[in-house]
Amino acid sequence: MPATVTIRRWTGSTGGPTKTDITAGTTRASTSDAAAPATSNPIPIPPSGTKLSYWVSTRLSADTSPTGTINNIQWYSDGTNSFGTGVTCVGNDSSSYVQATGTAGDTGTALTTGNHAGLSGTPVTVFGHTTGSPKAITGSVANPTTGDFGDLFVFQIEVASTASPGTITTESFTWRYDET
Amino acid sequence: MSTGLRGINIPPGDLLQADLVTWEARYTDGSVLREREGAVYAQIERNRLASFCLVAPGEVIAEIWPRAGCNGTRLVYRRRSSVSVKHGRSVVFFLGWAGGPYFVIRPDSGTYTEYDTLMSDVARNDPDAMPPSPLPEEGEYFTLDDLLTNK
Repeated sequence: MPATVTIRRWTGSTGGPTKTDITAGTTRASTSDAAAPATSNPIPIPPSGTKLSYWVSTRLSADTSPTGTINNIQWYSDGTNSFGTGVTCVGNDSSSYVQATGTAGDTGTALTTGNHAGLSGTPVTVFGHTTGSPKAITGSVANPTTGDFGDLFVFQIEVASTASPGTITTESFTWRYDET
Repeated sequence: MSTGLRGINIPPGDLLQADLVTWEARYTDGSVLREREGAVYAQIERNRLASFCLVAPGEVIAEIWPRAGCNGTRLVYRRRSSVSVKHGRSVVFFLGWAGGPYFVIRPDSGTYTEYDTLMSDVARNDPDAMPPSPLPEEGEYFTLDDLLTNK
C-alpha cells in the first residue's frame, strides 16, 4: 500500500513546532504565526514600500510508512501569479525550521538567508517553479519510517502599495514525489 | 512483440482508483511476487523477470516485458504522487526499462503515454515523465545517465 502523505504547516517555537495538516483545504498567510489565522492579522497595504506576511513553513509527512522508498521530492506552483497587482510570493527550500517572526498585525520579518539560517539560498519568486521546472527538494523516507521527511519549503507574501484591499485569489502550490 | 503494454481498463474520474493499483513481478518460472502480499520493490529478482504488471482488483491494467534478448535488470517503476492544498491528490505510474521505452499510466483518466526516450521534446514537456532518481536497489544495474540515454 502507498504511504499516506500529508502537507504540514509548521508554526510555533523552533524547538517544538506545531505541525498542522493543511492537505484538505487551504491555508492563509498572515501577519501572525498562527497555523489557521482565518482573516485575522491580514497583511496591510502600505502607503509605500512593502509589507510582508510571516513566512509560511511547509513540509511533507508520511503518516504511514511507504512500502519501499519515497524520493525525488519536488515543489512547484502553477507558474502564474494570480494574487493580483502588488502581491508577490517568494520562497525557497530549507533544511531546518525557524519560527516566523515580525510585528503581529503589521509585517513579518523578511525571509532572507540572514534571518532564516536553514534556507538553501536567497528566496525567489515561487512562480518560477512550475510543474515542468519544479524546485527539487532534498530528502527521502524509507520503510518502516514515518513522520516528517524532506526539506521544508518556506514562502512569504509581499504586499506593495499598489495592491487592492480584500481577499486575494487562492494560489495552488504542489508537492510531487516518487514512491515504490 | 518483445515489449509493450497490455491494456488499461480503469474507469476515469476517481483518483482513488490508483490507490488500489499494485504491482506484480512475474518470473520466468511462472511464480509471481505481489506487492499486495507484502512484497517490496527491492525484493524483485530482476535477473529472472519475465514481465512486470500493474494490477487493480481483478484485472491487469498494464504489463511490460523486457526487450527481446534482455532480462529485467533495467526495470524502473514509480508511483508518482502530487499533493496540493488546493487541488488535492493525483497519482500516475511511471514504469519501463532504463534506456527506454517508458510508460506513464494514468488510472484516473484511463490513459497512458509511451516514450522511447525521456530526452525527446515530447517527454520533456510531460512532467509525469521526468526522470526518477535511481534507488539503491537499481544502482547495480543502471545510472541516471542510463535513464536519459536511449539504448
